[in-house]
Parts: sequence; C-alpha cells; structure tokens
Amino acid sequence: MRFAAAIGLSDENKGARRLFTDTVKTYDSMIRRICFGYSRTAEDLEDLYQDVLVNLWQSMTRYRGEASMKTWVYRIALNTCVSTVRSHSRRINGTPIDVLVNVADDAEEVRADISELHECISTLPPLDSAVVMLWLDEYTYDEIAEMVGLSRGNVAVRLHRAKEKLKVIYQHTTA
Amino acid sequence: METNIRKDWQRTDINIGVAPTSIDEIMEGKRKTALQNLAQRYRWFSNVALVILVANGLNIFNLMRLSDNETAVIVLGIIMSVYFIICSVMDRWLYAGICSIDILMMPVMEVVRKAGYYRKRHLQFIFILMPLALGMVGALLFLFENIYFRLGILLGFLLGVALGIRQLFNFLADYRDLIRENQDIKKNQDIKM
Repeated sequence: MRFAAAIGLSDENKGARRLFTDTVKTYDSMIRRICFGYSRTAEDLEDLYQDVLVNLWQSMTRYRGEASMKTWVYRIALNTCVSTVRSHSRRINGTPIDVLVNVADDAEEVRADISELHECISTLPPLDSAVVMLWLDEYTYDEIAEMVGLSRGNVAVRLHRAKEKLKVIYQHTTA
Repeated sequence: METNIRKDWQRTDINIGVAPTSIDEIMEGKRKTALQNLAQRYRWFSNVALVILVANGLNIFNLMRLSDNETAVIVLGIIMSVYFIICSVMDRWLYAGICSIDILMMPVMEVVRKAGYYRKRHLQFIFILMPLALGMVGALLFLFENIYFRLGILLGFLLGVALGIRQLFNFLADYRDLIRENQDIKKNQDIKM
C-alpha cells in the first residue's frame, strides 16, 4: 500500500513536471513579454521571470481546466508582476533593459518602436499596464474585464487613454 | 496603427538567460518568489521582536542598577515592551496579509489593491515606529549617567543612522511611488460607467 502510494506520488510529480516544462515552452515568449512590460532593468526582468516560473510551478496542481491554459498562465504572470515590490534604488541603478530585446528581422525602426512601447507600458500604473498588454495580445474587452476585475466600460476608458498615448509615441517615431 | 503596435509587441522576443539548473531548482522547491521571501521576512521579524521583548523584560533589573531613577526605568521598560509587542503584532499582521494574496484566483485589480494596501501600511508603521524608537534612545541617554553606557547608546545610534540614511531615502522614494499608484486605483474607482 505504501509502495503504491509512493509510485502514485511519483507519477503525479512526473506529470506535473512534464506539464510545467511543456507550459513554459509553449508560453515562454508571452511570459517574457509580460515581465518585460513590468521591468525597468535587466535584473528586475530576470527576477520577475523566475518568480513567475516559481508561481506557475507551485500552481500546476491547481489547474482545473476551467479557463484556457493561456489565460491561466497570463493571470499568474500578471499577478506575479503586479504584486512584486521593486525598490526605487534598484529601478534607478540597474542594467538598461533594451539590451535584452531581440527583434526577428533586427530592424532598427522596429527596435525603436518596441523601446518606445516599453517606455509607455512601464510608465503606466500597474493596472493600466495589464490592460494594455492584454489588449496587445488580442484579448477581447470582455476577457480583459474578467481577468483584471474591472467593468467593460472601465477597460474601454483605460484603453482609450493608453491608445492616445501610444498614438503620440508612434507618430513621433515614424515622423 | 493599432495593428502595427500589436504586431510589434507580439514579435518582441526578450532574451533572458535562465539556466536549466534554475528550472530544476524551481521544481525542487528551492526557489521562492519575492513575495514569499517578503512574507517570511515579516514572520522572522515578528519572532525576533518577541525574543527582544523577553530579553528586555529580563534586562530591566540590570538597567535598574545603573540608574538612580528606578521608577523611570520601569516606565521606560514598559514602553519598550509595548513597542516590541506592537512591532511583533504588526509584522504578524503584514505576514498574514501578504499570505492572503492569491496569485491564482484573484483578479489583477484585487492583487494590485492588496499589495498596495499592505505596502502602504508597512511604510506607515515605519513612520510611526521610527520617532518612537528615537524617543526611547533619547530617554535612555537621559536616564543613565554612566558615560560608557551613554557612549554605547550614541555609537549604536550613529551606526544606525549611517546605515539607515540611504534606506530612509529609498523608503521615501518608494512611498512617493506608492502614493502615485494608489491615486490611480482611487481614480479607477471613481470612473463610473
């Protein structure tokens, strides 16, 4: 009986490990982008990323399949980022984050746009950053409202404000 | 424009070098998040305050021998005991609060609100406890005439100031940032759609 329980536990553990590594592999790029949106320095980014992975691993056994895996991972990543306290000195004295950005075709223009986009997202209040990133990843207003815990109208207002800001940035970089 | 922004965002790849050993450490439970470390620190400080409380109680008789004013020493001893009880209870409360943040189930808004609330309370507690600590140092200097005792207290105080002045500036900067974030949450609650 004891042996069987041990085998069962081991199998469950193996399953969770496999699910975890598969999940990280599938959503790695998305997780990195979310952490990027909430970081001002490379050190912050690495710490946040590892924190998200820790929370993801610790939550693995609690996934019930009620939401899609992507939404579930997104929520964990966002919540980890908004709950992490980063000290002021750390934000001032770290390595600039731009060095970590890879652009597929390495176009300088795109790199500059991403840099500006990051500047815009990271200077927004945490809640607005979450709304904007969800919108950038093509979630609908209803899905954003559900995940963030705001009304649909409130999401629309916040997004409208953020888009105005983005528009100015994009016009500025493309001019 | 919107399509361009989304396209740019979705094809952004961030280069983070996380070693496979880190992933193993995570799966073996060797790594903790910043929030979990913070909660542990609160619990640790809560326990340390209790130990100091007991040590303070035992030390009061020694202090009475060093001063002519026994009543004042007893009063100071009681004040110090109350101070450490407050510290312990406060840290235990913050620990429980931080532990109540459920990353998995709570909407982002709730997590932002809770994290901001406990950070604000933490900073406010420091605002209250710091002058109290300074007052106690002042009372100790006033009550004990022994020059070595006074020198010891002053030296400890100066060392504390030297180490703490930078922390104080960081703390004030963090508080300023937090107030800005809280104003945003309030603004959000004011928007009625």
